[in-house]
Amino acid sequence: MNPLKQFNWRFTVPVDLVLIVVLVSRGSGVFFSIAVVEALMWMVRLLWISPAMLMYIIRRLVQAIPVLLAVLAIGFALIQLAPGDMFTQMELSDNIRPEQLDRFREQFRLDQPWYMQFYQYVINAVQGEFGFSRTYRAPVFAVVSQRAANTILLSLTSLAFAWVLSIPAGVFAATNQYNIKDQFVSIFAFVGLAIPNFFLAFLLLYLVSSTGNWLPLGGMTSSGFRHMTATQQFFDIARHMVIPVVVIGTSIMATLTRVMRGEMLKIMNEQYVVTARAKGQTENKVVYMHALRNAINPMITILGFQLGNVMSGAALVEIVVAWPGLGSVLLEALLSQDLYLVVGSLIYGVGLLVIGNLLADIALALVDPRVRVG
Amino acid sequence: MEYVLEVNDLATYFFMHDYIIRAVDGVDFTLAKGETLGIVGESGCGKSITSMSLMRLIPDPPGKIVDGEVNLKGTDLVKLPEEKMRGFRGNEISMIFQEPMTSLNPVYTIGFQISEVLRLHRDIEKREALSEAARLLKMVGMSDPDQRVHEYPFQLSGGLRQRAMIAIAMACEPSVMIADEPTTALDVTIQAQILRLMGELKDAKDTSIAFITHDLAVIAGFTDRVMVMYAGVAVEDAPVKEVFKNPLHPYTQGLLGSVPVLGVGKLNEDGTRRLLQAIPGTLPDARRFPRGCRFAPRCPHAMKRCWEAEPNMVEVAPGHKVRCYLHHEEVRERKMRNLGAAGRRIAKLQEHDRKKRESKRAREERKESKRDGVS
Amino acid sequence: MTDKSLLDIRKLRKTFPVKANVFSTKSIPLKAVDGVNLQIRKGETLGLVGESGCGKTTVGRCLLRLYQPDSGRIWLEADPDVVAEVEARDAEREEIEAELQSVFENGSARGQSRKIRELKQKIRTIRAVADRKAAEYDLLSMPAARMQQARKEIQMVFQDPWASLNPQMVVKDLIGEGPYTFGTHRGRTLDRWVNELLDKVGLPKNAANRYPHEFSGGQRQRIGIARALALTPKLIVCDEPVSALDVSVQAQVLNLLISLQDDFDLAYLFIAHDLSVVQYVSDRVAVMYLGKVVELADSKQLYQSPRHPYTISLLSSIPVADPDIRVEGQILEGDVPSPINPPSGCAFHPRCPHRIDPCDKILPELGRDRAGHRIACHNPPND
Repeated sequence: MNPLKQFNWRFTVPVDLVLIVVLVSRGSGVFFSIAVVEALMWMVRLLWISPAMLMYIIRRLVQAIPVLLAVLAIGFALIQLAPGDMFTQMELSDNIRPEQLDRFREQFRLDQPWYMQFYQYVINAVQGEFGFSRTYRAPVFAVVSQRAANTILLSLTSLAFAWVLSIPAGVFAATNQYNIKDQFVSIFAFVGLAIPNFFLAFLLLYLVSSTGNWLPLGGMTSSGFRHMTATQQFFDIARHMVIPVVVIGTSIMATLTRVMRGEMLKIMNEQYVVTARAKGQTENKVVYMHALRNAINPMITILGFQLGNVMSGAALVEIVVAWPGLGSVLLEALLSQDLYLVVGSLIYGVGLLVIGNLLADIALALVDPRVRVG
Repeated sequence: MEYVLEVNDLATYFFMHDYIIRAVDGVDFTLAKGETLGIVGESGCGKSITSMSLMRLIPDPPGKIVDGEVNLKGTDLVKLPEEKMRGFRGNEISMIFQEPMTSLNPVYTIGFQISEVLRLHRDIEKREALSEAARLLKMVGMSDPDQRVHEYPFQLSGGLRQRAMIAIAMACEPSVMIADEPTTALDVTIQAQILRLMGELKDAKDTSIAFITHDLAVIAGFTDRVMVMYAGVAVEDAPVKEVFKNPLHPYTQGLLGSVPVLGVGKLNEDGTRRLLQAIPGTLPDARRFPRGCRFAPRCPHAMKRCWEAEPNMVEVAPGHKVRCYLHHEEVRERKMRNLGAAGRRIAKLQEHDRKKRESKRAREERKESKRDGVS
Repeated sequence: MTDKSLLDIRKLRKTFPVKANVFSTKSIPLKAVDGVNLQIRKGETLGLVGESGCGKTTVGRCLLRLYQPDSGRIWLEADPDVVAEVEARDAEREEIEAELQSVFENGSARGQSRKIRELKQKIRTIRAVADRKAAEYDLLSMPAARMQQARKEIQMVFQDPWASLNPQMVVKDLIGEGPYTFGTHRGRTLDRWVNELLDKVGLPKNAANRYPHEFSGGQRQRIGIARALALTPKLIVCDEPVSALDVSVQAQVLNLLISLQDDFDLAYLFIAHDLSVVQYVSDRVAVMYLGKVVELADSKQLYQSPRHPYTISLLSSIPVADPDIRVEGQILEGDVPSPINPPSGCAFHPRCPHRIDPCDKILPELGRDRAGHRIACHNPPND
């Protein structure tokens, strides 16, 4: 076998580290460096493991463009349909002369026909700029990007929470099929599905506050956050995340557990599981090494679908527990009729969804040898 | 003769919600060292359940081995605790399955799946196990074994996958290998390759093989002895030549008659259309087997007593056992002949006694059934 | 073409698009059936055998237009004059197509766009004329209304008796659906007809009002046969009708098919992988390998003196139910190659024990040899 054909982790991981260190030492942000280097290195790895897959990913990215364009078009239409423009309010002001307003409009190209405006809008959007937020007196990008990061943090943690709990729960239910343990897991999962998110959030808040406030009740950080050490900051945020993560996590755990249970039951009846037993393998290894490894694939697919659920669920919960995410900023923007902020945060949400689904597909391709090698 | 495997009175039932399936209902057979036994029967006859029972792989619940013993070199596998049984599976007794497409785990490489069984039963390193796996793949006739160990099952054709399964089953050089319809899913030319390979390996390693199949033609050239099963019991057990040249049980005869013979053509000598000799009717419902002989409803020779009680397995010739009243008569007559005049009188008295006993039992049973009918 | 011909399959081709790999959008053509010529006479049985993936099932499905073939003609009881005329036009078209191909291959296509356009136009015209001529008899160029009528003449019995009967319908409706839609039987006559069919296939009358799940595999296959018979077709395509059944039941169903043939004056296209089953029903047998017919002969001749090396090894690898005969002779090495990328020349040459020089370059034609077999082989053994 050609050694170059065989992918080798030991070779590529040090390259990652070196590149990140170089970037950071030249003054780039840590997260930024990691993101850039990893994106680049994964391209290289994919080119190595399977060029066909790299092509697939590039094609998927290209396919995402019309979706994003359509979203932009809807956002743009919303802005255009609303009466007036960015400077309409200023017309009432005595301090600004009409010529000055015209100059502003020319500067922002508001005097041009709508398609030129849309073109400009798209160009701006590609650079992450969605206009100027009136309420925050800051570019939408600056307002939304921090919030989006908070939402991503919350959603991913909730997903991970739900995933990590529902896999063993599903396996447990499947290996104890139809007996009392299985029923218990199912009932528990359905209760999680049945309770409305905001209600569970209020319930937890009430429980915590009536038992001595052992968890923060809202927000993302405590008051002295700026003066904490990095470790303290980490645990502070973690403590704030407990309630929203439990609320969002339980709501999708039900689906994930049912899927996992069904998939495990199906796989446990496969011939290769019998083969594994016939080899003399222990029951634990039969379940976790042979069956679970195959049952996990649909769970990854479903992860992509669930991302939408999680983010919309997160929006409501964010508002209840005052988590500074996209959901709460969207609500604020709607209440204060800050149009550019509304559209900007919507587009951000959709963009995250598209990328999340793509990542789930890639993850599936990576774990399934039939997809990876074939 | 020393037997590697002795199966006595094995019975495996499935306890469903409101009925019991007597899938295997008292099966006896033996397997000598290096011997190949064909277990033949149609779907639902219990041949696969028998093999799964030998491996103790019956899903429990609902299945359970309710009776009997499986003696492998002096160890009764039925009574073995699960932990100890694991040490036997894949090591002393191994198995290959019908569907090569589904019997290998799709997410692990062939090499990994072969070395898994080696590392379970042998004390060897991961790397060593992998090179051993490559050696085994070479043994089962795969080209490029060093390349193949890194390949996944979906990259192999059906025939190659079945070779990989055989490599797994032979990895620890077991004394008994169970082959459950190993060639049924394969094309004839591939089937011929696999059969040849199994024959070569058996001769080289002196493994005893239980070859389970529905296809009489497959085992004709491959096995030493044949056990024919019908509805959970063995109906005939004989050397392979006896089964094909002198089948005694009406089911075996019917089965042989319904196998299409190659090269006979469409028409008979007199120009009429050639028909296959079919067995009328269908297999009995495993929930409600007939009270007497299970083949009686389809049997052209069924007598009154066939409907009343199940016949025992009798040895009509050395090594040729059959479960049929037709041959009970024959055996008794032979015994009587051997006994001479005095014996004939004794036999007559015995016969008289037996008839009396039977009619008495029949009366009691009638009464009982009436009682059941009332209550 | 003899006047007894029922169905004449000419140059049938069918490709399936297959994805090159999971990530690609391009598809590669898989040649499932590659230029097959077969003729089925009235009341005869043509056996079609081969290993999995050889295209035998695809041929059967093309006859019922369950698959739409890429090209070729399937003549149903055609007027020989029409056939001859259409064949002439088709030959003419193929010549022009070859010319067009050569234009492309010479690499001089750039300057000749006008010529290419003209040729393409010519091909279109000739094809349209030929198709219009053939519309009355050719299953593949028939208008929908005529096709609907033709469907009555060809019916199918499927392999899987469990999957091929709608579990929601009672047997009466399963069998009576065809006659009802075609209006051949209505009301009480339909009931009588269904009862008669049930009787013919050996099922009790009370089966009519029961659901398929109440029957065993063999009985279901009988229902499937009754369904195929219900329109009194001239041809039944039997696609592995007994391979899912137990041996003893398989014999019952085979015997039933044999006796029905005489009662209903049926022709069968009997598709199977099991050569020993096929001989009981077939007058003639065609052997397929990778989308092509490699040998076609009278059943008796084919079994007693097979000529193509593939047929010979196929026959010799069938186990015989006799312990005195060990399987010997040639056991073919290797697997059937992928039909996506079949070997050049004769597709069988990589596995062939009688391979000679031109086998890997030139495709052998299906020609008649002196024993009356039609074989596609450069170097038939024992010649």
